[in-house]
Amino acid sequence: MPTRDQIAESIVSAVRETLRTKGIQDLSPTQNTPVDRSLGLDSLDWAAVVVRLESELGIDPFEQGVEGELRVVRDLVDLYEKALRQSA
Amino acid sequence: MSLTIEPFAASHVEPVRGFNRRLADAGSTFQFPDGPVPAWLPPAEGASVHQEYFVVRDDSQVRGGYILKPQLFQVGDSVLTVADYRLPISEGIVDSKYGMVGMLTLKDALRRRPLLYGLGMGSRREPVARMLQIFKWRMVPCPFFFRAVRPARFLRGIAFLRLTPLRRIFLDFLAFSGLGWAALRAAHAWTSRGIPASASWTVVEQFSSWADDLWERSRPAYSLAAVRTRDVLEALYTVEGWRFVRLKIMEKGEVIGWTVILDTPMQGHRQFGELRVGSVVDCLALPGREVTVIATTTRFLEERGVDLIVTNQLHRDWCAAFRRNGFLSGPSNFYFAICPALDTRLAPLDPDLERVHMTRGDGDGPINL
Repeated sequence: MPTRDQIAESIVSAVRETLRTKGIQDLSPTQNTPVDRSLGLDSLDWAAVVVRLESELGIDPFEQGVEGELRVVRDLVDLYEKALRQSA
Repeated sequence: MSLTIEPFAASHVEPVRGFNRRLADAGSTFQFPDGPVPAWLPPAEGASVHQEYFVVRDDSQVRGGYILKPQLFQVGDSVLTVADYRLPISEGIVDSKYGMVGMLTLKDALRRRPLLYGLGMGSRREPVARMLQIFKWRMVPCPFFFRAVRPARFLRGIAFLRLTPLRRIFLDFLAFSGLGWAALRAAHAWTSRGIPASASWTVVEQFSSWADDLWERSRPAYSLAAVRTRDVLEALYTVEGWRFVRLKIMEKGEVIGWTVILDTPMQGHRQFGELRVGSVVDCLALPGREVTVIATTTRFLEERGVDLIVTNQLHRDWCAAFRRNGFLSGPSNFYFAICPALDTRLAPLDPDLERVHMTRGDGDGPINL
């Protein structure tokens, strides 16, 4: 199982690459970056992020439903870490 | 943002109305049903097919919703529950703060009903269609077929083709000169030549045991088809306010098929203008009798006086039957999509999805017909 830091790096990287695909070069997402409209990702972008992460991390935590808040990237890291721990 | 997806309950009615208002205020034409009980196919004890409404709750607000229509399908030799994934709506379409909602509705639907399909969608470029393709759903168009019964009225009334002044002038010329009439009549007649008028139709008020027998004898022709027994057909096609016409087709004393049709005088319709449109909504036939069933249905609709007959079909034998009966192909905005799990089941049985039976009746009801 990847470490929390590795999970965080995968998520941040997936978000960053998706932003670059949209031509948004000047945003450097971190774990504190909000996942709301200020990030500029629409539903299709988030779908692409999730598909990319499933390919990298081998898991899609959204298949089991979502509990709790999703306000910042760190919340996504928590979600993926929990899902990976449960599947291990 | 703390999101929970749950069945639509009475407590959600006002939040859904608020959701719909926010969508409308932002210029969207999408609206989610604002009551928890579907008017069409409500859940009921023993119902053979029904709809389920789900909402995406964000504390006291609703940020999205979707509909499932689960029913039994023949999948190869098995009978499984497969659900139509319908009307996914997200506040993300007007406010990117809720950009995750669309994806979450799809994931939730798959968790509840692992075998899903979608039907309609408008085009591959629509957001729902693009979302499904991102998640590796397979998508194929359901071919659209039409037959102009009254070519002159068709040419003067087909709004979809009459989009520019130049086109309208050209189509009017074809109509008034008789050239369009002659060309369409010739095309239809040439391709439908030699089909004997040996079968007869009966308009029936109900499906009965003959429908069950026909389903048993016809289902081996399909890799995927909704179970079309009497109880399912009665549930789908007995709807107050909708004028479904059920035709039982017989030849030499034997039931060889049935069709469900609509006969609708359109008013200001985006594609059909003011034409009177006959739609073949659903159909079933003994294997090899599809041509005769469509020939008989076409005669019925022509005698009834429609201007145009239309249908969407996916199964190769039904597509061939409509072509054989002089129907021409038109551009289709009606797509069939299957989730990866269903695609995996079908791949060894029917890799090109040629034997999948999908009609308008498998979708959201013939709402646009």
